[in-house]
Amino acid sequence: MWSSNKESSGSGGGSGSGGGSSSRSSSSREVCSSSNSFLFSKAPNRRTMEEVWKDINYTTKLHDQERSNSRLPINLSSSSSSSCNTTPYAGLRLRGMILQDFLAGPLNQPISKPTQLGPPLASIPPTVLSLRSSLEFNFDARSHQDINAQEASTTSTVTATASPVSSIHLFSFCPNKRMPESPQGAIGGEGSNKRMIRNRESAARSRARKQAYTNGLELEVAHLLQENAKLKKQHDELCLAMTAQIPTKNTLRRSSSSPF
Amino acid sequence: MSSDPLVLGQVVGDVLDPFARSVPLRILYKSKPVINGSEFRPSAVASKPRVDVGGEDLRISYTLVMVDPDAPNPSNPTLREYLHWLVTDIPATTDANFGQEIVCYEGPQPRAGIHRMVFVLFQQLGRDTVFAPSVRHNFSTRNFARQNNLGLPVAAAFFNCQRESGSGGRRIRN
Repeated sequence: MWSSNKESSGSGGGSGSGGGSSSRSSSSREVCSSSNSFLFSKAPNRRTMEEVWKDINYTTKLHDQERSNSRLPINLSSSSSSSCNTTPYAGLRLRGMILQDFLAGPLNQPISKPTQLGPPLASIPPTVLSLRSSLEFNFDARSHQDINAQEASTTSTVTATASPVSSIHLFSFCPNKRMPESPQGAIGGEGSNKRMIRNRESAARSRARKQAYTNGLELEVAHLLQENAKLKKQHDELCLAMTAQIPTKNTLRRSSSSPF
Repeated sequence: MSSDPLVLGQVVGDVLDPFARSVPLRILYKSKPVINGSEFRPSAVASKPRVDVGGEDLRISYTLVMVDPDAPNPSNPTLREYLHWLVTDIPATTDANFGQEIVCYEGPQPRAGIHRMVFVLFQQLGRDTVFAPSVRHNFSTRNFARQNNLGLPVAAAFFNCQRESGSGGRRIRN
């Protein structure tokens, strides 16, 4: 799902951000294409999902080493375009948090303010910024005005509410379509991810069941109507045949009689 | 999108390959006919149903298979498929009582979730050509048909079954 997403966004990314974003149905896809075009023009359009996740793993390692030093308040608009071409990871780290920490947040770390989670995904390679931007858009945008202003123009069609929401709710809102498979052991939110997938499958089964039932009923109704019509016709024919025969019953017939 | 309940309910796919119906099949549990996608509770299907097979030639034999592809749990069907009933050598235009019940009828007793119970009818090449498996679970209708030269099904039907006190596949609260 994600790799096809990449290719479609890669082809749409160069064509223009506004058109690309408004024509897509899924918010993550349109944000991906728009952020792609906005932040870097000829960025890795053909990145496969595996490469993206490898980068995330790489940034986990980077981040673990430099965690204490990375309290950089980042102005994304200025740093992104320059940093993405040179050091995509260092420049985009915001407030020392990356995707994994954010996702692990609800389970491992007590997060005090939602705004802390605001710029968590900065160290992720740009192609996955779609996640971040849709997440961020959901937060109270007080502290990220430039970012949001920038994102707002490109994600105008994202149907996100501005009210502050819990991180878990965001986590489930973030990918509108199915989430990609998480890499081995990298994300703490894998448990709820699996649960979501199971839930979705169950919902799909339920819908299929419902539709199969109504179709089965419709077919049965059609079949029964047909049979009914056929039987009625047969009945009418028999009645006709019966009434046609009745007069002949009362006529006398000569039959052999006994000699005495 | 196909409007065939067998396709919509994923029976064609999980259990069967696409086929064309050629023989009428009527299944009745205590005079209630099985309509594709309808629901029966375990109490209603505890004893074997009456299965009327159509066709024209009495010499043609059919095999009836009844499986549960959602055993033990539709979200985790590790025992797919569970064989509930296997009757062979059913002559055309008769019913299952005239056949050989080589795996006796076992009423469905689903523990979790809503299970599909699938009936499949195959045409046999000759009599006494079909053999029963050793265990009921992890049965494969496709492999069974292939091993016994049954080809594609000639008829199929399914119904849904959940446990007696179930409320739509929800987990039991303890």
